[in-house]
Amino acid sequence: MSVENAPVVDVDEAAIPVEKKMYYRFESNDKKEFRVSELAIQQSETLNRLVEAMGYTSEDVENKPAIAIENIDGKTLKLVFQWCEHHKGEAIPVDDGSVPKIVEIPEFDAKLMDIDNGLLFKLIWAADYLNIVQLLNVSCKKVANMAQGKTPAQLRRVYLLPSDEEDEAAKRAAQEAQDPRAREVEEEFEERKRQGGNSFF
Amino acid sequence: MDVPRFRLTELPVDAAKNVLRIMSPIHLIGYSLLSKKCRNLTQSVGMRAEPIFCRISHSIQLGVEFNKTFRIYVKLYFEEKENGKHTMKTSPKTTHIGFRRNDIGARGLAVIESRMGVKEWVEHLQFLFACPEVFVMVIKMQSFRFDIQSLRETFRNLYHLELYHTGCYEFNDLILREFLPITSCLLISPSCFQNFKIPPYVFIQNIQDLKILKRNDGHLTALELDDLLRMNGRTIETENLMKTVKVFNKFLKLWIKGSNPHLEYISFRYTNWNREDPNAVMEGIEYQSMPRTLARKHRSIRFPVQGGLDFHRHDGVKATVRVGKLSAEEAVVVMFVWHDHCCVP
Repeated sequence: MSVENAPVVDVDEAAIPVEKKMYYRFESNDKKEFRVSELAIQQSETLNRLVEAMGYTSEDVENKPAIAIENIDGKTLKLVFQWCEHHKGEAIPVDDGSVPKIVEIPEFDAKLMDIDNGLLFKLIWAADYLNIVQLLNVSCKKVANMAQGKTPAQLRRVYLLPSDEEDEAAKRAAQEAQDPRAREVEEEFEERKRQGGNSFF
Repeated sequence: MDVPRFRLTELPVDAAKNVLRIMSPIHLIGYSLLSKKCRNLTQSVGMRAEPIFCRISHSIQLGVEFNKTFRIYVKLYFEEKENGKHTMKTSPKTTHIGFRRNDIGARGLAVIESRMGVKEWVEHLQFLFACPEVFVMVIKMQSFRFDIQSLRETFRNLYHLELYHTGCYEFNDLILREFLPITSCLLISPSCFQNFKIPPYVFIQNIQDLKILKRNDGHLTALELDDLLRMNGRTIETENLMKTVKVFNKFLKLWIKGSNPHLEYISFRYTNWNREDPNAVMEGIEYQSMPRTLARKHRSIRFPVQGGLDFHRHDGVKATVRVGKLSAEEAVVVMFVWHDHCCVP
C-alpha cells in the first residue's frame, strides 16, 4: 500500500510544533499503514526503543518501508495510535505497586473504548505488547468495571472462567491429543532397540 | 439485558493481573474463589498483608490489613444451634465480604454464596496474601457458641489477644488457658472474671504488653500490691482503677529495690483525682523534678515525655513518674523506665 493511500490517524495538526513534525510509518499485520508523531510514540516503551534503535532521519522515514507490527491488526492499531496521539506529551505513570490500583478513565478514553469486547481484548493485548502503560491501565479498568455489582457466580459467566473440573477436562484432552506422538516416539525407540542401535538419537 | 463476556484468562498474564489489581477488593476475593487457577492468579498479584485478625462474637470476622490503610474482611454468620457448638469447619449461613480504604475513604460490602468455613477462609486468605503465621484475636460477647478446641487448632499461634466477657465465665477461662502464653499483647477486661478479680496466672504471663481494659463494664478494677508485683509484662496499662495511690507508692519503693526488673512502662488510670496525689505517689522517695521543657522520647509512647519526677533504682536505672489529671474525675499515674533499649534518640 502506498503512503498516499494509507489510512491516517486523525491528528490535531495545529497542536504540533512545526519543527517537531517527524512522523513514523507503521504497518499492521493486515497491511494498513499509519503515520504517528514522534511524541505520540513515546507513550509506547516498545516502539520508542525501536525507533531510537533504528535512528531514522526524516528522509529515512519517508523512503524506507513502514515499520511492520506483525501481530496487531489495523483496526486495533488505529485505536492504539489515536490514544497515543491524544495523550502525547503526558507523563507515563509509574507503578507504585499499590492494590487496589486507582485508575480513572478520561472521557476521551471512554469514547475510544466504546467498542465490543472482542476489540477491547485485542486492544489490551496490543497495549501490553507495545508497553503503553496508561492505555493498559484504562483498558484493564474497563474490564475490571465489568465485575461491578456481580456475584462470584456471575463473575464466572462475565469472564468466561472455567471451573476446576473443566480445567481438568481440558488438561486431560490436551494430554490425550499429545499421546499419539508420544506413542510414535516410543515405538520408534523400541524398533531401534530391536535393530541393535545404541543410541536413540 | 446482555451480560458482557470477556475472556479474562486469555489475556497476557501481566494484563490479567493488572485487571485484578484495579478491580474492587470484594470482586477480587470473589474471583479468587472460582477455581484453583483464579486463586493462583490472585495470589500472583503479590499483595502482602499483616497477620490475619479474627473477631469472634455471635459471628466470626476474619480480616487482613495492608499498609495500615486498607482492610479486607470476611464475616461469617451461622445458624442458631440448640445442641453443641460450631466448629471452624462449620459452613456459614451467610458470608459477607467487605473492604475499607482509609486513605481515600472508600468502602464496600457484598453478600456472597459460599459454604467455606472459618478454617478454609483462614487458609485461603493466608495463601492469597502471604499473611504471617500469627493471628490477632478479639473475643467478645456470644463467642461461647464456638468450639474452643476447633478455635485453638485453627488459630495456633496468637500473638495478640483481646478478651471481653463472652457471656460465660467458664468459656473466658478456657480461652485464656488454651491460648496463653501469648508473646506480644494481651488486652483483658476485668468483667471476664467473677467479682472482676483478675486471677494471678494472667499477671504472671511473660508478655510484651498487658492492658487491662475498662470497656464493656462500668465496674472499677481493684488492683492490689501483689497483683502489681506479679506483673511480668514489659508495658502495662490499666484503665478504670479504684484509687490506689498508696499502693502505687509502695510499688515504686519495691521497684527501687529490684521488683519487676523488666518493666518499661506502666500506666494507671484512676478516678477521684486530688491535687495532693503527686505528693502521695512519691512520698518517701528521693526524686528530682524535671522542667517541662525537657522532652524525652520513650519507645513505649509516640509523644515525648515532658518533665516528670526522676528517681533511680538501686542499680542506677532511671525512671520518671508523671501524675496528671485527664478530666474532672479521671487521672493517670505513668512510670517510664529508661533502660538503654527504651531510650529513643
